[in-house]
Amino acid sequence: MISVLNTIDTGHEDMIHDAELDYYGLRLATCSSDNSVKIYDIKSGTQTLAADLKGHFGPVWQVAWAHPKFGNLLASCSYDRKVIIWKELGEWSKLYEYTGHESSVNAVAWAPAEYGLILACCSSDGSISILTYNQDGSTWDVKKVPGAHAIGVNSVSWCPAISADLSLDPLTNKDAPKRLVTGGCDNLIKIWKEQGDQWIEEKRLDMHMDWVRDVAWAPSLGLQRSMIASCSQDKRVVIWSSDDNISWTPTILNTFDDVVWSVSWSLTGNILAVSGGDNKVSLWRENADGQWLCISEVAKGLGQTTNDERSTL
Amino acid sequence: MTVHWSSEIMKWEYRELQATAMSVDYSGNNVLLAGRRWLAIKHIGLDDVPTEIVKKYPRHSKYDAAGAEWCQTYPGQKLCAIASNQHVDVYEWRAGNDLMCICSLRGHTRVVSDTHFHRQDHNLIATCSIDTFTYLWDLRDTRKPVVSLSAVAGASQVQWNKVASNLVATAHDGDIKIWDYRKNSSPLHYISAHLCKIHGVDWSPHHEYQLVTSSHDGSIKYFDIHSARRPENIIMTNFPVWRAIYTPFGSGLLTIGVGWGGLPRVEQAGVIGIWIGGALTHRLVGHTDTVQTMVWRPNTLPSNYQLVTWGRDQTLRLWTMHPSLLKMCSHYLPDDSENDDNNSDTSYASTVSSTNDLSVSDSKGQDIQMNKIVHKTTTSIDEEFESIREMANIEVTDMNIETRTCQIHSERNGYTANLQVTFPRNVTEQTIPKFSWLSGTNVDGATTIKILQAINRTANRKKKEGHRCLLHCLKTLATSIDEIPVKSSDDSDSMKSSQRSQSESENAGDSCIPFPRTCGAKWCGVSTLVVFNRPTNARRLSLKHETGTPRSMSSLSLTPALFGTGYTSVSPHATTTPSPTNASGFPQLLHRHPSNSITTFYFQDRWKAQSRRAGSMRSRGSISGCTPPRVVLYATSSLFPLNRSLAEKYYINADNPVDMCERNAKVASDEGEGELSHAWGLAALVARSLAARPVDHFISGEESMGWTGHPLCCNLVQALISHYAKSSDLQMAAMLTCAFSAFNDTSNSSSQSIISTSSCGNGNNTSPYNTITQYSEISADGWTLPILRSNSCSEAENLNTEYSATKSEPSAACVVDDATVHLYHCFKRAYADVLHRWQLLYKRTEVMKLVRCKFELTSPGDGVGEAAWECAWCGRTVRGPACAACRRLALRCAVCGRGVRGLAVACALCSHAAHAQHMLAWFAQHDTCPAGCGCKCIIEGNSLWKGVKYV
Repeated sequence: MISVLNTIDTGHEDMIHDAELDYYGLRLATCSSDNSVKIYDIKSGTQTLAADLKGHFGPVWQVAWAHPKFGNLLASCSYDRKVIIWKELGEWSKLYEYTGHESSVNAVAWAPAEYGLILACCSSDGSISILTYNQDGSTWDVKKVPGAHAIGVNSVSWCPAISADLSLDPLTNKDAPKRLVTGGCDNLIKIWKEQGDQWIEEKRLDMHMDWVRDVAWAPSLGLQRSMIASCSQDKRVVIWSSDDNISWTPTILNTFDDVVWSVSWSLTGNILAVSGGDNKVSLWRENADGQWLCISEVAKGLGQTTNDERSTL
Repeated sequence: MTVHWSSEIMKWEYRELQATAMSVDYSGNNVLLAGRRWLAIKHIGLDDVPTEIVKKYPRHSKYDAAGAEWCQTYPGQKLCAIASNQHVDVYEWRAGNDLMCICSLRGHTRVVSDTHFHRQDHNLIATCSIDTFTYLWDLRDTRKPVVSLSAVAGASQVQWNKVASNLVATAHDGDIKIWDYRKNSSPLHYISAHLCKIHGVDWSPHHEYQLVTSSHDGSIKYFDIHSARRPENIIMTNFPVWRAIYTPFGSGLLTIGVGWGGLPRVEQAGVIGIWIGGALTHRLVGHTDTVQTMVWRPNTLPSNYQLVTWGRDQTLRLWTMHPSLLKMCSHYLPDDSENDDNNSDTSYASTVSSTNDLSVSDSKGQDIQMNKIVHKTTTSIDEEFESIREMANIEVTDMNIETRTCQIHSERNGYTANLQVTFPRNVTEQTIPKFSWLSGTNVDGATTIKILQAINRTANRKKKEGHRCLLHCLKTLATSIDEIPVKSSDDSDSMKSSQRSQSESENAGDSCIPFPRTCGAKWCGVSTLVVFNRPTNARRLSLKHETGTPRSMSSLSLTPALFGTGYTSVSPHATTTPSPTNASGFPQLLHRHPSNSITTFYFQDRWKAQSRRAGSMRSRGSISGCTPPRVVLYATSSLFPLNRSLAEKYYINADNPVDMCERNAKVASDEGEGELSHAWGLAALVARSLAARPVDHFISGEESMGWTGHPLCCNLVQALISHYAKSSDLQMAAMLTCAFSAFNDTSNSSSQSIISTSSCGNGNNTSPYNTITQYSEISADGWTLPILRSNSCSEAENLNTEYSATKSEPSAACVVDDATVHLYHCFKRAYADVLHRWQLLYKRTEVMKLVRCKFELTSPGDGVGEAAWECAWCGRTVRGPACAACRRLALRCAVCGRGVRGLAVACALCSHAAHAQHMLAWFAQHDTCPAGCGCKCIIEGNSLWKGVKYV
């Protein structure tokens, strides 16, 4: 059922830490411990190296594509404490370099395009930075939330702009309240809300027993229910659901054999991809009874997929 | 400002030796030169006679000497160690002419990169290698190391602390580890010092906790090992720094670089830089090629520090430090003492007169007389020691007449000072003892230098007078400590606690950085799963598997226990001996790779196997030989009910729901989606009944009311929509909502709503509206189109005016509440996003047209997209060529400055417009905007539109 579309030999000289396709699925960005970010054009089974971006002086942890309406923008964050926003203007070049963190920057995430060009970065120095592009001066406004998580912040994800709030105009969603979820080394998940020009902690979710490695806010179709997936060093993945963004109910998706490193929601928000230290990827879907079932496990490296349970769904 | 001068006093050239390492012995008179073919000992006696007398000992080895070192202790002064390939040979230089190899230390599995004799115990030697281990050997039993310090990355430097006897520092790529060899399981401190390879480490001669590192990244950093997260000071140079060593006097620093930045290498290689207070103050010029080794000549007079260097130009040079330089480093100079004798006399007179033992008050007058009895005083080390037996505030902790040293402990006001006094052996009358700080001293660095200065001054004065000096020196010490401003107890407490917390939580910077992900899956686009992972041949030790994946990056280096004793991993980047002797010059830029260890973490088996098999150290590229990292894209469209070909073929026409539903039912069945086809069929039925309803309305029959209220009417469609939404079939849910415009508005079921829909939908599919809608978002976001506006934007401006008016009465027919309508709009919007990702822009536009604010369009004329601009004269927003207010042509040409009538072209980015002809002519020659705003309209404008993909 799951077929290999493309296999890209990245040519990185070291381990890859993140890979992401752009909005249209036509370009792949990868980043690695060899300090570089590479961009490939993907076309039906073939790929060509479009750019090899060098600017970081440490392993690059994560890359993120911005919405194409802002142009071709890519953000990358690294162990070298920097966040670089790259822009394609004929050639790829640095648009902006943010050096406001005092330790490794572990994750970057673009806000929903409706809000404008906004990037959230989180770092092992315990703070979150929100970079907002200010068109008037072509500058980036920086808002820093210090001490967001003790020890360090590992992951950040935006609340989708499409919301069930009736007073909002579905066409633009511009005025939807901005929310963020972060996970950190204090084993907590925190939800942040922008009020005025401040980011305030709206809620903290305490369930994990070790560092939270990744959080992901599920895309919204406009339904009342919002969901957040979180994964942790404690080998568990937890799905948090809420009808009002205030009270959250945790459900333990599964306890894995090894630590879980990342969670990712599909575009329509119904399938969760989980991966971790055991080098395996599994896909999970909620059935009608609200139970989460593993629908496939992409046995890593073997390219094999097992899909037994799908027929039962 | 850099003063540029050469002050070498001696120079010898020994080309035939091809020496690659040099060391000076304890006496400071013998220099060992070690090369592949020869070991040679050169006497550089005090007589300074330029002699060629060199004792040469043949050494036939395949390998260069990577390091040579004399033991710097009195009992071990005949010992020297020469590192060569994987082992270290220890020689004894007997009777001044016989160099015997007494043992060979074999244990390292790869090239030994550095050796260091212990500062006090001549039987103890530390060796480190790029096989990641640092061994401590006892020369009395050399079969195996007594202590083994294990790390992940190869070690390039090992240095014993100059003050505390149990501390040793090792350098691993960009990191420094500080070990207490009594606790060898894990380092005491871990310093992430540089991003590039560290070439040199040097402990402060004055302070137990301070060290300086020099790195390939061109920076020199001072660290206090207790607050290792942040360097105390950083010096940035423009060249990779090979070595940076403290001056034994004052607060200076000597550096040798690996070529000097942009300067021609031939001219500048071989320059030794002297830094004082963070600035390059002097340069010692003489060597014509890179300097390989520099050491301070041991056993020199405090007033006459000498530097011995060996360079790749095969010359051995001896340098003196100019007095002005010593002074700049705030080092006390005896010669200068006359100038401030009066000052110092008064200040110390008060000190000394308070004690009864001796008085200095007579010193001035009796200078000559005292000098006569010099012989009597100089020999009396016993007397010196005896004199300090009973002193207040000073405790003598150790006294050794044989080694001519004593150790002093003094504690006042919360400050502790531990001082070691060493009386030189080859004493002349005026030689003052050497003072150095011992561990436990908690006085800050600047003050320790000041105190030493004061003590030296006292010692010198007393020696000149022919007195014993030790007693007075210690009095000076006691007074100086008293004079340090007293810390309040709060301060010291908080300082201590902050120090503690720092060292606990921050000394290992990597301990709070999560362990790197090497496997992951991300949903991208509509249904593509991007997966990257470690190659299948990557495998962790089973040991580690049981303990699970570590959580922080520091685990890569902080848990040697994890690796067990048999674990030998090889840092892939430390492939050659890091020595400037490599013929091709200097090590290339080796970026710091914490992930070296990641790679090693997963690939250690392979590395081991490889190095065993090939026996070569030449494996470059961290995971060469392993599968290169791959990313796999999986097409998972079958997991989702979204179907691109359906989306392409689906027909959207809200004006005619019946037709739309029927045609889509056919499309679905053609695509083999029987269930969807059936649903569309049901929808068509409902649509037909709804279409018939207005007619029914006039009849107002019971029947018609029954039908609209019938479950098969609106409720059926709603049920279908919610069913598909629940099963995540966004496509079907959204398409159904599109078909029923009744759901588009709360003012539902009225014909008005249908009309308004069609007024909007009437637009030709290829009208500019389609594209402008898309970009209206941009302008609405304030991104790129400040002036060009589309109708939808103006709609947004007028939202509030109409709000109350359009909140019309609910109709009796299809009762759909606000929330549901909103939800349906959200479905459409989310589906439009999917279509956008599929690059079905026309379809997307068709759907987006049906996503509408709850408000009516204000002016029907706005149906077609149209540009608006600000009037160039009055600033009002204008549509059409002329401004209604000032009755002039609204658009002014950026080229000719006149109003534009006819064809105009505007830049999408800076929004400057001009006559089309003018614009074309302008851009044939220029690339920036004619208005002078600096916008590169052609490039930027193009890239702006580039994001758009048309079907």
